[in-house]
Amino acid sequence: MAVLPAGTAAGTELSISMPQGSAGGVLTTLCTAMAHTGAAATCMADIRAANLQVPQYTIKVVRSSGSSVDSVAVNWAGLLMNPTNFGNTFVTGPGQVGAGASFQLRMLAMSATNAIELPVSATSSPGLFAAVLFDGDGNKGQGNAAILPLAWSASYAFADKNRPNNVLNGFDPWNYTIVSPGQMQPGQTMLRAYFDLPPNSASYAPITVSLVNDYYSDLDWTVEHVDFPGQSASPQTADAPTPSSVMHGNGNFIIDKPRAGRWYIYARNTSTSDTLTDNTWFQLSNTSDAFPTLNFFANIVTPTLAPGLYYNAQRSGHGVSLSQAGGQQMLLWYTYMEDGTPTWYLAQAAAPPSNSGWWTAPLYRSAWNGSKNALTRVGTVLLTPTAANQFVFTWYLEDKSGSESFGLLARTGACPSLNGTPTNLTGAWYPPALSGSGIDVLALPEQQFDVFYLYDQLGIARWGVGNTLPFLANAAMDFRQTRGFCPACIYVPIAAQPLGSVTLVYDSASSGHLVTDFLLKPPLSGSWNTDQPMRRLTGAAACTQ
Amino acid sequence: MKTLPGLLAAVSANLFVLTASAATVLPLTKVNVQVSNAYDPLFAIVNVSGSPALPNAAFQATTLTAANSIQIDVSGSSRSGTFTVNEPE
Repeated sequence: MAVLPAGTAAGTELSISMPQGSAGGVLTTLCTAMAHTGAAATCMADIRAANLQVPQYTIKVVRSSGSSVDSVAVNWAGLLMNPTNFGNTFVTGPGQVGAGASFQLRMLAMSATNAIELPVSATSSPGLFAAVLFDGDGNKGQGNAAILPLAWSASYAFADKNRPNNVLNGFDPWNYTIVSPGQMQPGQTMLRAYFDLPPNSASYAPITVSLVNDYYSDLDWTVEHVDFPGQSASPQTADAPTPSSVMHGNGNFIIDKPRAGRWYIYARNTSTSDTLTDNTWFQLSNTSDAFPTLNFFANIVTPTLAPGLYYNAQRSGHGVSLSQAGGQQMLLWYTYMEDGTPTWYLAQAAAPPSNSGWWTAPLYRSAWNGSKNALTRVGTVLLTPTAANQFVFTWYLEDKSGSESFGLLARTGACPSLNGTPTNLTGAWYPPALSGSGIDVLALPEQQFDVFYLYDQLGIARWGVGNTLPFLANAAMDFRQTRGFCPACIYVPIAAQPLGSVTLVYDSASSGHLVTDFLLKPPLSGSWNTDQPMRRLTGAAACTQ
Repeated sequence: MKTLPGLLAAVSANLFVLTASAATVLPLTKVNVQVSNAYDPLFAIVNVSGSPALPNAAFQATTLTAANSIQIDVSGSSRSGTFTVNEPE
């Protein structure tokens, strides 16, 4: 792909060509483009066919007649349409699209260094290219496929060195277990780099925080301990407290006896003129590893988290369910997009040890193609227990991150009666014929509270909520579609409108029947009408209350 | 530097057009983001319209193998530059 940038003289011609045959000399034109006044001209050659793949291609420019310019700038890139090797670039969108329909793609390149050479200068890489190839069922480039060429560009904003960053969330590529204060402006302060240590029945080995490669000694820094944050209506991770004393430049801060709570790494660029270089970073180390993540705090006994629904009472309207099965732990997060419409995410990983609730897992977005779902990684979650059935929910979602304190939405472990026997029904249930959709059930004697996970007309993940008082083994429940606030958005009270009904019939602790009659309300569209046997996917068998 | 496999000696006449692929190529979309350091993620929501029907949409990024900017001398009637395509790493 080659581009004449905007501003190129009108009439300038651009082409890409390749040698014809082995003799060379004669060129085959693959694409042409011409600059028009003010607009960029793009020449893109699709070279996926094997016989179009040669070691060299020729970019040719012909100036417009009458033009006296001596040279023309051309931006170019060679793209290999290889969907198995896309360099930590993630793309999500609808699961099904009608011809000509408008929709949104969410593009994420995990590191600017992967996608674009930074820093950008006047003489290098002013406009670089990535492209998206999309198609159905993995038949890349065939049939009803499309290619969306993209021109990524980036500039330094020097705006936010305070993206919340939990250093122990060592889930590449969302976090590299180091804190890079690089590109801090003169006088700028880093206030939201931290790690959380849960209460521990024994004691932690000493932890060392090190500043590395501060060649110019322009950095004041220290490590500060605070209590765990309480529940708050703000999505903001609180700033580090102003330290009473600081260290200067390269060095180690050793925490001999780490206590439970939040530990901030505070830093300030003391220079009055120089921006910090990208090569300066902080790293943690303990006796197990130079870059400890959660995995290097083995055998730590922490408070545990019972299966159930958890939420932040100050930001009611979103929350997570936690359940286990087959040695795995699953987290379903019902929340909202930036426009306030409901959406959900799934996290799953090996369950933590039975004496710990400390857990981390990759986070996925689900899309429905009409008959099945596909999961795409969009982030990571970290649960740090602060007390029994309470935890700090840390999340990385696309380019955003944050944390808030969660507690149980309702009591857990008490069981309703099914055919005269107390039976634990709490957990995730799903219709096997429509795997990828399903329902989170909280079943107590006094009530049933459920979250249903479905998809809209574009196959985008949506959810609805319903409840009934008291619990009934055969219940028809009205469900609501809610409008709320995205994870990093300011809290607003949720607004609800009718979504439809669900009839749930439990035959046993592991099977039943599910009927849904949903019609999504604007701005969403679509319906979800099903009549299916259902099976239990996760949840405990025992009643503990 | 390795070259792509499958280099053929002959190019048939019908390859003078773009390719025989059925894929629809949508117009170039520009995405500009601001970051505070080189390790920041780049994120953008891109509005797409005019695609064919995608009953089983599955989105994938492609590999970016080379990217550059060149100045092509056009002081004569025309000049050209060349670029090389690498094999994926």
